[in-house]
Amino acid sequence: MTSPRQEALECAQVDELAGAAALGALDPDEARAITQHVATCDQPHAAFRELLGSDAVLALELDPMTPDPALRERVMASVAVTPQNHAALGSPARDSSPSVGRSWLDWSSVGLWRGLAGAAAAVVIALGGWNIGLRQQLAIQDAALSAIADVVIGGQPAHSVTGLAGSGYVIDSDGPGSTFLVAGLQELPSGDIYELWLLDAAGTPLAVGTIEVADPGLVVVALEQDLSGFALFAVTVEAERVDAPTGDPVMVGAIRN
Amino acid sequence: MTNSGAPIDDTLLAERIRAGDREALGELYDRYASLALALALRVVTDRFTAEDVVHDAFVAIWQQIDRFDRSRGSLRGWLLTVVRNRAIDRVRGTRPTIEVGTADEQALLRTSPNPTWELAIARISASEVRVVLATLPAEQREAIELAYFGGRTYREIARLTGVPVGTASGRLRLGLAKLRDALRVPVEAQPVAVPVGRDAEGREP
Repeated sequence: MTSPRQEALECAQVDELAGAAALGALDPDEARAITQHVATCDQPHAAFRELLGSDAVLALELDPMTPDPALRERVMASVAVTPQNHAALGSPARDSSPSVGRSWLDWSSVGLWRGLAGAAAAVVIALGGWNIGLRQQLAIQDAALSAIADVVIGGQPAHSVTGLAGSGYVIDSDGPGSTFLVAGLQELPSGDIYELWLLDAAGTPLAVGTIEVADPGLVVVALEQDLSGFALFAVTVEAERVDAPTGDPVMVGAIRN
Repeated sequence: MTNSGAPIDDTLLAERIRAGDREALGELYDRYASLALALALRVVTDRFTAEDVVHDAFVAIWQQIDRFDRSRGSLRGWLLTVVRNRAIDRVRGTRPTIEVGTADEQALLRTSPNPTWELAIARISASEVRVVLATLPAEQREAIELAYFGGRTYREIARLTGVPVGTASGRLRLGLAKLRDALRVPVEAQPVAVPVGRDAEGREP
Protein backbone atom coordinates (compact mmCIF):
# COMPACT_ATOMS: atom_id res chain seq x y z
CA MET A 1 0.00 0.00 0.00
CA THR A 2 1.32 3.38 -0.92
CA SER A 3 1.80 5.69 2.01
CA PRO A 4 0.20 9.12 1.77
CA ARG A 5 3.62 10.71 1.61
CA GLN A 6 4.52 8.64 -1.44
CA GLU A 7 1.53 9.74 -3.45
CA ALA A 8 1.98 12.29 -6.19
CA LEU A 9 2.25 15.77 -4.78
CA GLU A 10 0.28 18.75 -5.97
CA CYS A 11 2.20 21.84 -7.01
CA ALA A 12 0.87 23.77 -4.04
CA GLN A 13 2.10 21.11 -1.66
CA VAL A 14 5.54 21.22 -3.20
CA ASP A 15 5.72 25.00 -2.87
CA GLU A 16 4.50 24.81 0.71
CA LEU A 17 7.39 22.51 1.54
CA ALA A 18 10.01 24.71 -0.14
CA GLY A 19 11.59 25.79 3.14
CA ALA A 20 11.77 22.27 4.47
CA ALA A 21 13.24 21.07 1.18
CA ALA A 22 15.86 23.81 1.16
CA LEU A 23 17.00 22.89 4.65
CA GLY A 24 16.88 19.14 4.21
CA ALA A 25 14.03 18.95 6.69
CA LEU A 26 11.94 16.46 4.73
CA ASP A 27 11.42 12.81 5.36
CA PRO A 28 13.27 10.79 2.72
CA ASP A 29 10.15 9.67 0.88
CA GLU A 30 8.89 13.23 0.72
CA ALA A 31 12.23 14.47 -0.55
CA ARG A 32 12.13 11.80 -3.22
CA ALA A 33 8.60 12.71 -4.24
CA ILE A 34 9.42 16.41 -4.42
CA THR A 35 12.55 15.79 -6.44
CA GLN A 36 10.51 13.78 -8.90
CA HIS A 37 7.75 16.36 -9.02
CA VAL A 38 10.02 19.35 -9.63
CA ALA A 39 11.98 17.44 -12.27
CA THR A 40 8.88 16.55 -14.26
CA CYS A 41 6.40 19.34 -13.55
CA ASP A 42 5.40 21.81 -16.26
CA GLN A 43 5.24 24.59 -13.70
CA PRO A 44 8.47 26.52 -13.03
CA HIS A 45 8.11 26.42 -9.24
CA ALA A 46 10.12 29.63 -9.07
CA ALA A 47 9.23 30.34 -5.45
CA PHE A 48 10.35 26.85 -4.53
CA ARG A 49 13.61 27.11 -6.40
CA GLU A 50 14.40 30.52 -4.93
CA LEU A 51 14.85 29.03 -1.49
CA LEU A 52 17.21 26.29 -2.60
CA GLY A 53 20.80 26.99 -1.67
CA SER A 54 19.93 28.91 1.48
CA ASP A 55 21.59 26.32 3.67
CA ALA A 56 25.08 27.39 2.66
CA VAL A 57 24.27 30.94 3.77
CA LEU A 58 23.12 29.78 7.19
CA ALA A 59 26.52 28.19 7.77
CA LEU A 60 28.09 31.61 7.30
CA GLU A 61 26.65 32.84 10.58
CA LEU A 62 29.22 30.68 12.35
CA ASP A 63 32.61 31.96 13.34
CA PRO A 64 35.27 29.73 11.79
CA MET A 65 37.18 27.50 14.21
CA THR A 66 40.80 26.55 13.75
CA PRO A 67 41.09 22.76 13.53
CA ASP A 68 43.81 20.85 15.33
CA PRO A 69 46.78 20.69 12.93
CA ALA A 70 46.71 16.90 13.26
CA LEU A 71 43.31 16.85 11.55
CA ARG A 72 44.84 18.02 8.29
CA GLU A 73 47.38 15.23 8.54
CA ARG A 74 44.59 12.72 9.09
CA VAL A 75 42.69 13.99 6.08
CA MET A 76 45.70 13.94 3.79
CA ALA A 77 46.78 10.50 5.01
CA SER A 78 43.32 9.14 4.30
CA VAL A 79 43.18 10.82 0.91
CA ALA A 80 46.52 9.25 0.04
CA VAL A 81 45.01 5.80 0.34
CA THR A 82 41.51 6.54 -0.96
CA PRO A 83 40.94 6.08 -4.68
CA GLN A 84 38.61 8.46 -6.45
CA ASN A 85 35.46 6.84 -7.76
CA HIS A 86 35.80 8.18 -11.25
CA ALA A 87 39.41 7.12 -11.64
CA ALA A 88 39.92 3.80 -13.34
CA LEU A 89 41.84 1.37 -11.23
CA GLY A 90 45.49 2.00 -11.84
CA SER A 91 45.15 5.54 -13.12
CA PRO A 92 47.70 7.62 -11.29
CA ALA A 93 46.70 10.02 -8.56
CA ARG A 94 48.57 13.20 -9.34
CA ASP A 95 50.30 15.09 -6.59
CA SER A 96 52.09 18.37 -6.86
CA SER A 97 54.93 16.85 -4.86
CA PRO A 98 56.77 14.84 -7.50
CA SER A 99 58.14 12.32 -5.07
CA VAL A 100 54.75 11.36 -3.73
CA GLY A 101 52.62 10.62 -6.81
CA ARG A 102 51.78 6.92 -7.11
CA SER A 103 49.58 4.62 -9.08
CA TRP A 104 46.91 2.69 -7.26
CA LEU A 105 48.19 -0.42 -8.93
CA ASP A 106 51.28 0.14 -6.87
CA TRP A 107 49.34 -0.40 -3.67
CA SER A 108 50.39 -3.99 -3.42
CA SER A 109 54.02 -3.23 -4.07
CA VAL A 110 56.46 -3.23 -1.22
CA GLY A 111 57.44 0.32 -2.08
CA LEU A 112 53.99 1.70 -1.54
CA TRP A 113 53.43 -0.28 1.61
CA ARG A 114 56.70 1.08 2.91
CA GLY A 115 55.71 4.58 1.86
CA LEU A 116 52.35 4.25 3.53
CA ALA A 117 53.93 2.98 6.67
CA GLY A 118 56.27 5.95 6.63
CA ALA A 119 53.36 8.30 6.13
CA ALA A 120 51.52 6.54 8.88
CA ALA A 121 54.48 7.02 11.16
CA ALA A 122 54.30 10.74 10.46
CA VAL A 123 50.61 10.66 11.17
CA VAL A 124 51.25 8.82 14.38
CA ILE A 125 53.55 11.61 15.48
CA ALA A 126 51.06 14.23 14.39
CA LEU A 127 48.27 12.44 16.16
CA GLY A 128 50.09 12.80 19.44
CA GLY A 129 48.21 15.97 20.15
CA TRP A 130 45.00 14.35 18.99
CA ASN A 131 45.34 11.49 21.38
CA ILE A 132 41.90 11.38 22.90
CA GLY A 133 40.69 9.13 25.65
CA LEU A 134 39.28 5.80 24.69
CA ARG A 135 35.91 6.23 26.32
CA GLN A 136 35.43 9.61 24.68
CA GLN A 137 36.70 8.38 21.36
CA LEU A 138 34.33 5.46 21.32
CA ALA A 139 31.46 7.52 22.55
CA ILE A 140 31.60 9.67 19.48
CA GLN A 141 31.40 6.78 17.07
CA ASP A 142 28.47 4.91 15.67
CA ALA A 143 25.91 3.64 18.09
CA ALA A 144 26.99 0.12 17.26
CA LEU A 145 30.57 0.84 18.24
CA SER A 146 29.80 2.86 21.33
CA ALA A 147 27.59 0.03 22.56
CA ILE A 148 30.66 -2.09 23.10
CA ALA A 149 32.72 0.65 24.73
CA ASP A 150 32.29 -0.91 28.11
CA VAL A 151 34.02 -4.01 26.87
CA VAL A 152 37.16 -2.20 25.88
CA ILE A 153 37.62 0.62 28.34
CA GLY A 154 40.40 -1.06 30.19
CA GLY A 155 42.84 1.61 29.13
CA GLN A 156 43.85 0.08 25.82
CA PRO A 157 44.42 2.49 22.96
CA ALA A 158 41.96 2.38 20.05
CA HIS A 159 42.97 3.36 16.53
CA SER A 160 40.47 4.61 13.99
CA VAL A 161 40.28 2.63 10.75
CA THR A 162 38.25 4.15 7.91
CA GLY A 163 37.75 3.75 4.21
CA LEU A 164 35.44 2.68 1.43
CA ALA A 165 34.29 -0.50 3.12
CA GLY A 166 33.22 0.91 6.49
CA SER A 167 34.60 2.45 9.64
CA GLY A 168 35.86 0.94 12.83
CA TYR A 169 38.66 0.55 15.32
CA VAL A 170 41.55 -1.73 15.98
CA ILE A 171 42.10 -2.03 19.72
CA ASP A 172 44.96 -3.37 21.80
CA SER A 173 43.92 -6.10 24.15
CA ASP A 174 44.77 -6.28 27.82
CA GLY A 175 46.54 -9.57 27.22
CA PRO A 176 47.99 -11.00 24.04
CA GLY A 177 46.38 -10.06 20.75
CA SER A 178 44.12 -7.26 19.62
CA THR A 179 40.58 -6.71 18.38
CA PHE A 180 39.20 -5.22 15.18
CA LEU A 181 35.72 -3.72 15.32
CA VAL A 182 33.98 -2.55 12.21
CA ALA A 183 30.47 -1.25 11.63
CA GLY A 184 28.59 -1.12 8.37
CA LEU A 185 30.88 -3.42 6.45
CA GLN A 186 30.00 -3.47 2.77
CA GLU A 187 28.98 -6.78 1.27
CA LEU A 188 31.41 -8.40 -1.15
CA PRO A 189 30.84 -10.38 -4.33
CA SER A 190 30.45 -14.04 -3.66
CA GLY A 191 33.75 -15.72 -2.83
CA ASP A 192 35.68 -12.53 -1.99
CA ILE A 193 36.93 -11.91 1.51
CA TYR A 194 38.28 -9.03 3.53
CA GLU A 195 41.87 -9.60 4.60
CA LEU A 196 43.35 -7.71 7.54
CA TRP A 197 46.94 -6.50 7.63
CA LEU A 198 49.39 -4.98 10.05
CA LEU A 199 52.37 -3.09 8.65
CA ASP A 200 55.55 -2.25 10.47
CA ALA A 201 57.45 0.99 9.97
CA ALA A 202 59.38 -0.59 7.10
CA GLY A 203 56.14 -1.28 5.27
CA THR A 204 56.20 -5.04 5.60
CA PRO A 205 52.63 -6.36 5.64
CA LEU A 206 51.62 -9.18 7.95
CA ALA A 207 48.35 -10.99 7.32
CA VAL A 208 46.50 -11.10 10.62
CA GLY A 209 43.00 -12.24 9.79
CA THR A 210 40.08 -12.34 7.42
CA ILE A 211 36.41 -11.49 7.39
CA GLU A 212 34.53 -13.82 5.12
CA VAL A 213 30.95 -12.77 5.75
CA ALA A 214 30.19 -9.06 5.80
CA ASP A 215 27.61 -7.89 8.26
CA PRO A 216 25.98 -4.46 7.98
CA GLY A 217 25.92 -4.32 11.76
CA LEU A 218 28.92 -4.75 14.00
CA VAL A 219 31.70 -7.21 13.22
CA VAL A 220 34.23 -8.08 15.91
CA VAL A 221 37.40 -9.94 14.96
CA ALA A 222 39.85 -11.22 17.55
CA LEU A 223 43.42 -10.99 16.26
CA GLU A 224 46.26 -13.03 17.67
CA GLN A 225 48.79 -10.31 16.87
CA ASP A 226 49.61 -7.45 19.25
CA LEU A 227 49.68 -3.98 17.73
CA SER A 228 52.97 -3.14 19.35
CA GLY A 229 55.65 -2.40 16.79
CA PHE A 230 53.23 -1.83 13.92
CA ALA A 231 52.55 1.48 12.21
CA LEU A 232 49.49 0.81 10.11
CA PHE A 233 46.38 -1.37 10.01
CA ALA A 234 44.80 -1.99 6.62
CA VAL A 235 42.05 -4.02 5.01
CA THR A 236 42.02 -5.28 1.44
CA VAL A 237 39.59 -7.35 -0.59
CA GLU A 238 41.02 -10.63 -1.81
CA ALA A 239 39.71 -13.61 -3.73
CA GLU A 240 41.26 -15.88 -1.11
CA ARG A 241 43.54 -15.60 1.87
CA VAL A 242 46.95 -14.45 0.65
CA ASP A 243 50.31 -13.65 2.20
CA ALA A 244 50.72 -10.31 0.47
CA PRO A 245 47.98 -7.88 -0.51
CA THR A 246 46.92 -7.90 -4.14
CA GLY A 247 44.29 -5.19 -4.15
CA ASP A 248 43.63 -1.63 -3.15
CA PRO A 249 43.12 -0.89 0.53
CA VAL A 250 39.48 -0.42 1.40
CA MET A 251 40.14 0.65 4.98
CA VAL A 252 43.25 1.98 6.66
CA GLY A 253 44.28 3.45 9.99
CA ALA A 254 47.46 4.65 11.63
CA ILE A 255 48.51 2.97 14.86
CA ARG A 256 49.66 5.34 17.57
CA ASN A 257 52.14 3.46 19.69
CA MET B 1 35.12 40.14 5.67
CA THR B 2 33.86 39.14 2.27
CA ASN B 3 34.62 36.13 0.18
CA SER B 4 35.04 37.72 -3.21
CA GLY B 5 36.63 35.54 -5.83
CA ALA B 6 36.29 32.27 -3.96
CA PRO B 7 33.84 30.64 -6.39
CA ILE B 8 36.20 31.05 -9.34
CA ASP B 9 39.11 29.60 -7.42
CA ASP B 10 36.89 26.82 -6.15
CA THR B 11 36.02 25.81 -9.67
CA LEU B 12 39.68 25.48 -10.51
CA LEU B 13 40.28 23.60 -7.29
CA ALA B 14 37.49 21.20 -8.14
CA GLU B 15 39.05 20.53 -11.53
CA ARG B 16 42.41 19.85 -9.95
CA ILE B 17 40.87 17.53 -7.38
CA ARG B 18 38.99 15.75 -10.15
CA ALA B 19 42.33 15.25 -11.88
CA GLY B 20 43.64 13.52 -8.78
CA ASP B 21 45.70 16.40 -7.36
CA ARG B 22 45.90 15.75 -3.63
CA GLU B 23 47.52 19.10 -3.00
CA ALA B 24 44.39 20.74 -4.35
CA LEU B 25 42.36 18.85 -1.77
CA GLY B 26 44.77 20.21 0.82
CA GLU B 27 44.14 23.72 -0.47
CA LEU B 28 40.41 23.14 -0.24
CA TYR B 29 40.92 21.96 3.31
CA ASP B 30 42.99 25.05 4.17
CA ARG B 31 40.27 27.24 2.75
CA TYR B 32 37.21 25.74 4.36
CA ALA B 33 38.16 23.40 7.19
CA SER B 34 37.62 26.10 9.79
CA LEU B 35 34.11 26.80 8.53
CA ALA B 36 33.41 23.09 8.14
CA LEU B 37 34.55 22.47 11.71
CA ALA B 38 32.39 25.29 13.03
CA LEU B 39 29.38 23.84 11.24
CA ALA B 40 30.06 20.29 12.37
CA LEU B 41 30.61 21.40 15.95
CA ARG B 42 27.39 23.40 15.96
CA VAL B 43 25.49 20.25 14.98
CA VAL B 44 27.25 17.56 17.02
CA THR B 45 28.40 19.80 19.93
CA ASP B 46 31.46 17.64 20.54
CA ARG B 47 34.85 18.73 19.28
CA PHE B 48 36.19 15.24 18.66
CA THR B 49 33.11 14.10 16.80
CA ALA B 50 33.16 17.33 14.81
CA GLU B 51 36.73 16.71 13.69
CA ASP B 52 35.80 13.18 12.65
CA VAL B 53 32.93 14.58 10.62
CA VAL B 54 35.22 17.09 8.91
CA HIS B 55 37.73 14.36 8.17
CA ASP B 56 35.09 12.11 6.64
CA ALA B 57 33.61 14.97 4.63
CA PHE B 58 36.88 15.95 2.99
CA VAL B 59 37.70 12.33 2.20
CA ALA B 60 34.22 11.97 0.68
CA ILE B 61 34.74 15.10 -1.40
CA TRP B 62 37.97 13.62 -2.70
CA GLN B 63 36.38 10.29 -3.44
CA GLN B 64 33.16 11.62 -4.95
CA ILE B 65 34.39 14.76 -6.73
CA ASP B 66 32.89 13.42 -9.96
CA ARG B 67 29.50 14.14 -8.44
CA PHE B 68 30.26 17.84 -8.11
CA ASP B 69 28.49 19.86 -10.77
CA ARG B 70 29.31 23.57 -10.78
CA SER B 71 26.04 24.31 -12.53
CA ARG B 72 24.19 23.03 -9.46
CA GLY B 73 26.00 25.20 -6.93
CA SER B 74 29.34 26.10 -5.43
CA LEU B 75 31.99 23.71 -4.19
CA ARG B 76 31.79 25.39 -0.81
CA GLY B 77 28.05 24.86 -0.70
CA TRP B 78 28.46 21.20 -1.62
CA LEU B 79 31.16 20.71 0.97
CA LEU B 80 29.03 22.28 3.68
CA THR B 81 26.10 20.11 2.65
CA VAL B 82 28.25 17.02 3.01
CA VAL B 83 29.56 18.20 6.39
CA ARG B 84 26.08 18.93 7.67
CA ASN B 85 24.63 15.65 6.44
CA ARG B 86 27.39 13.69 8.11
CA ALA B 87 27.11 15.66 11.31
CA ILE B 88 23.38 14.99 11.39
CA ASP B 89 24.05 11.31 10.72
CA ARG B 90 26.20 11.28 13.83
CA VAL B 91 23.58 13.04 15.91
CA ARG B 92 20.89 10.69 14.73
CA GLY B 93 23.14 7.71 15.35
CA THR B 94 22.85 6.45 11.83
CA ARG B 95 25.64 4.71 10.10
CA PRO B 96 28.00 7.14 8.41
CA THR B 97 28.31 6.48 4.72
CA ILE B 98 31.27 7.38 2.61
CA GLU B 99 29.06 7.90 -0.44
CA VAL B 100 27.53 11.32 -0.73
CA GLY B 101 25.43 11.44 -3.81
CA THR B 102 22.62 9.57 -5.30
CA ALA B 103 20.86 8.47 -2.16
CA ASP B 104 20.63 11.96 -0.76
CA GLU B 105 17.68 13.46 -2.54
CA GLN B 106 17.63 16.41 -0.21
CA ALA B 107 21.22 17.30 -0.98
CA LEU B 108 20.43 17.14 -4.67
CA LEU B 109 17.59 19.52 -4.12
CA ARG B 110 19.62 21.90 -2.05
CA THR B 111 22.54 22.16 -4.41
CA SER B 112 20.56 23.76 -7.18
CA PRO B 113 22.00 27.14 -8.10
CA ASN B 114 20.43 30.33 -6.88
CA PRO B 115 21.97 33.72 -7.59
CA THR B 116 20.58 35.28 -4.42
CA TRP B 117 22.36 32.87 -2.14
CA GLU B 118 25.50 32.64 -4.26
CA LEU B 119 25.86 36.44 -4.24
CA ALA B 120 25.16 36.56 -0.53
CA ILE B 121 27.82 33.98 0.18
CA ALA B 122 30.32 35.98 -1.83
CA ARG B 123 29.72 39.32 -0.17
CA ILE B 124 28.48 39.03 3.39
CA SER B 125 30.10 38.27 6.72
CA ALA B 126 29.10 36.09 9.64
CA SER B 127 27.99 39.08 11.64
CA GLU B 128 25.80 40.29 8.79
CA VAL B 129 24.10 36.90 8.54
CA ARG B 130 23.50 36.94 12.28
CA VAL B 131 22.00 40.42 12.08
CA VAL B 132 19.61 39.33 9.34
CA LEU B 133 18.64 36.18 11.21
CA ALA B 134 17.97 38.25 14.30
CA THR B 135 15.34 40.21 12.40
CA LEU B 136 13.27 37.10 11.76
CA PRO B 137 10.31 36.34 14.03
CA ALA B 138 11.49 34.13 16.88
CA GLU B 139 9.37 31.16 15.85
CA GLN B 140 10.71 31.24 12.29
CA ARG B 141 14.28 31.55 13.47
CA GLU B 142 13.75 28.69 15.88
CA ALA B 143 12.31 26.48 13.15
CA ILE B 144 15.21 27.26 10.82
CA GLU B 145 17.80 26.51 13.48
CA LEU B 146 16.09 23.26 14.47
CA ALA B 147 16.07 22.21 10.83
CA TYR B 148 19.52 23.30 9.77
CA PHE B 149 21.63 22.88 12.87
CA GLY B 150 19.46 20.35 14.66
CA GLY B 151 18.79 18.14 11.67
CA ARG B 152 15.08 18.03 12.46
CA THR B 153 12.44 17.43 9.83
CA TYR B 154 9.52 19.81 9.70
CA ARG B 155 7.33 17.08 11.16
CA GLU B 156 9.70 16.76 14.11
CA ILE B 157 9.77 20.52 14.47
CA ALA B 158 5.99 20.52 14.59
CA ARG B 159 6.04 17.97 17.41
CA LEU B 160 8.81 19.77 19.29
CA THR B 161 7.15 23.14 19.12
CA GLY B 162 3.57 21.94 19.47
CA VAL B 163 2.24 23.29 16.20
CA PRO B 164 0.58 21.66 13.17
CA VAL B 165 2.94 20.35 10.49
CA GLY B 166 1.64 22.97 8.08
CA THR B 167 2.63 25.68 10.50
CA ALA B 168 6.11 24.23 10.92
CA SER B 169 6.70 23.97 7.17
CA GLY B 170 5.26 27.45 6.76
CA ARG B 171 7.65 28.89 9.31
CA LEU B 172 10.59 27.42 7.43
CA ARG B 173 9.34 28.73 4.11
CA LEU B 174 8.47 32.20 5.35
CA GLY B 175 11.66 32.52 7.36
CA LEU B 176 13.86 31.62 4.43
CA ALA B 177 11.88 33.91 2.14
CA LYS B 178 12.51 36.80 4.52
CA LEU B 179 16.16 35.86 4.73
CA ARG B 180 16.32 35.82 0.94
CA ASP B 181 14.69 39.24 0.68
CA ALA B 182 17.03 40.70 3.27
CA LEU B 183 20.10 39.33 1.53
CA ARG B 184 19.02 40.09 -2.01
CA VAL B 185 21.37 42.58 -3.60
CA PRO B 186 19.39 45.53 -4.96
CA VAL B 187 19.79 45.86 -8.71
CA GLU B 188 21.21 49.36 -8.32
CA ALA B 189 23.81 48.05 -5.87
CA GLN B 190 25.14 45.33 -8.12
CA PRO B 191 28.41 46.04 -9.90
CA VAL B 192 27.88 47.10 -13.48
CA ALA B 193 30.38 46.63 -16.26
CA VAL B 194 31.02 50.09 -17.63
CA PRO B 195 32.41 50.42 -21.14
CA VAL B 196 35.67 52.30 -21.35
CA GLY B 197 35.08 55.97 -21.89
CA ARG B 198 31.66 56.00 -20.24
CA ASP B 199 30.54 56.77 -16.75
CA ALA B 200 28.51 54.46 -14.51
CA GLU B 201 25.29 55.53 -16.18
CA GLY B 202 26.62 54.76 -19.61
CA ARG B 203 27.11 58.38 -20.58
CA GLU B 204 30.15 59.55 -22.41
CA PRO B 205 32.10 62.19 -20.49
